[in-house]
Amino acid sequence: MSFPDIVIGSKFDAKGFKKAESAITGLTSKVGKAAGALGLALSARAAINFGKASVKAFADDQKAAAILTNTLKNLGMAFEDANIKSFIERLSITSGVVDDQLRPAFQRLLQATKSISQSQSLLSKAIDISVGSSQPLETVVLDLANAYVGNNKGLKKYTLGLTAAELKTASFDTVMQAFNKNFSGANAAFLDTYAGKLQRLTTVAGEAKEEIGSGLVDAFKILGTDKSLDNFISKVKNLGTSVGDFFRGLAIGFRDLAKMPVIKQLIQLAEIMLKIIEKTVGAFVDPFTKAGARYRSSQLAPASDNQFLKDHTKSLVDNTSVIKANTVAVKKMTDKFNVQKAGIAAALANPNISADTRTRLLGLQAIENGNVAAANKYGGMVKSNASMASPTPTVVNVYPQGNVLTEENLITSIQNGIERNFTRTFGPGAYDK
Amino acid sequence: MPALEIRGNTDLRKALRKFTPDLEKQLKKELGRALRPVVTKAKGFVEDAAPMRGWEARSFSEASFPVYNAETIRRGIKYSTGVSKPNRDGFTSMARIMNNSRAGAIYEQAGIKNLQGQQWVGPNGLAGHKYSHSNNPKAGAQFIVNLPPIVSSLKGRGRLIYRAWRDSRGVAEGAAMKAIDKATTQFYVRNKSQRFRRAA
Repeated sequence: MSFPDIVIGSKFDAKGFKKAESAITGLTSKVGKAAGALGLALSARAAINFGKASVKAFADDQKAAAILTNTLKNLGMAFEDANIKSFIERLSITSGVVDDQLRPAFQRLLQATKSISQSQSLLSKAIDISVGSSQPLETVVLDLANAYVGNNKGLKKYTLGLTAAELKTASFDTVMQAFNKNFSGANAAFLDTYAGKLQRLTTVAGEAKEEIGSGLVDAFKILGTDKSLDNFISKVKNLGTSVGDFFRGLAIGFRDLAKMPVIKQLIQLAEIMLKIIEKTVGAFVDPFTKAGARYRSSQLAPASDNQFLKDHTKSLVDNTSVIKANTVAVKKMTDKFNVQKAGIAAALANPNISADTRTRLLGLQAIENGNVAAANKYGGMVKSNASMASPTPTVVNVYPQGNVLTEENLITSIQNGIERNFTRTFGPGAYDK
Repeated sequence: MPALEIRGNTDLRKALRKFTPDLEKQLKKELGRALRPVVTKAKGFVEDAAPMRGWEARSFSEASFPVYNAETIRRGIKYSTGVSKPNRDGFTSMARIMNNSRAGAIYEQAGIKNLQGQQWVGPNGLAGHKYSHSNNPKAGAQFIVNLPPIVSSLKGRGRLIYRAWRDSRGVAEGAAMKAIDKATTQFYVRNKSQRFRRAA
């Protein structure tokens, strides 16, 4: 626990450091940190430094790749260049070892074995051995390459369980069997640990840096007339500074603007409105977004996307009117099939029915149509004389005749049935019975 | 150019002790004379009773948080005229005033970072000394509000030694620096005439 104190006569004491250099660097780092903490062009500087570092990473990577390509060419395997590059990239990501290490290792193995498949297999095993034995990959690869050509001197440090005499005379297969027995799966186990995961992340970040560097180089090659690195660095610096200045100016503008009370309130109001609009528009935009995604996946050209959306929208509108028309038609069809209504209509059409019967029929019709007021009216007019005879039933039983196979058959059959019953009930000779 | 090269406070005090012990004695005496009043005043600011009931001394010990004890705090406030060890930036001091007790340090600087106290996470929250694990979410603020206000001085902020330093209005510092300068000047004057050398 550090206690509060007041120091008097404080002075830098070089005797406190063991070496003068560490004193200077210690102070410099503190000053540098203080400057950074004050925000003195930190962002622009960081951007410049990152740009330089990423370009350097890319340049180193290119150099290593060029060396490997040259080796392949010398061995007459230039055609495998693309496959090997892809192998190394994949191995780098899966094993967590940077490709800067993998390329020279692969090259060494290739030079020893003269076989790509053998080199690939040995490289994967070398990674396991390196992790399992805590030896650098470079050392392991060198030992394997030597062992391949019969020189087993460097294998003692791996403690393979072979005696010195056995080690001297062991064949490469025997050696590899011993390696497999001791170190197989070591890298996989390591990658499962926190340190392994961190290593993989670091490797991937390094790859990303190289990609960014590659992009930066290309970008500034396009911009710069002189293709030298100096020009590129100055352009990065200028860009970094001007980008930094732009954002600084923007931030200052917004900060000062946002401080004004009216503006502050407007901003708050705008935020609320945006939230409302977002919800409303989202419901509208969503179907189009989905349509867009669908067409993006089907890889249509943008012009045809627009045309299709137009046609799609038009067909939606057309379909809506069709649906409406169909709904009306269905309602009409439903009314046609309403046997009760048909019977009442048919009965009302008869001029010879009594007034009371007519009133009753009208009341029934009002009930069928759901017209409560009319039904009450006609219900009140109907005499309660139950003896008033109407030889005809108030409800006409209509039933289909014959076999109904189609819609039309059914309609025709019901119409015939109504006519038949009506004629029987209300037609001439009905009262003759 | 003097034969003896003095680099920093450590070398100076060593040289004073070795070659001019009277100057060393004089320096210590004058530093003490400058700093003693500040220490006495700082001790005077310590309250006899605990500023809050919950901080009073208990017969049992239940936690690592130190209880308030005026005597312990007063005993922890002192001055030193020896050269300090270099800190991590390589700086040493000729003299210093300290508040070297745990309760005293708490009383001195509670609330200096945040008057509301540490961020409260509760008994089951994040581990670490940066957070308040009290059952009471406002424990930190309540503790700080019971203490006297924090005072700012040129050497720092606090309630005891920094308050006393502020009240000295630079007199103590002036006297201390004068003593150091006087000893250094006299040493070099004597070196010119006597040429101090290391033993062979």
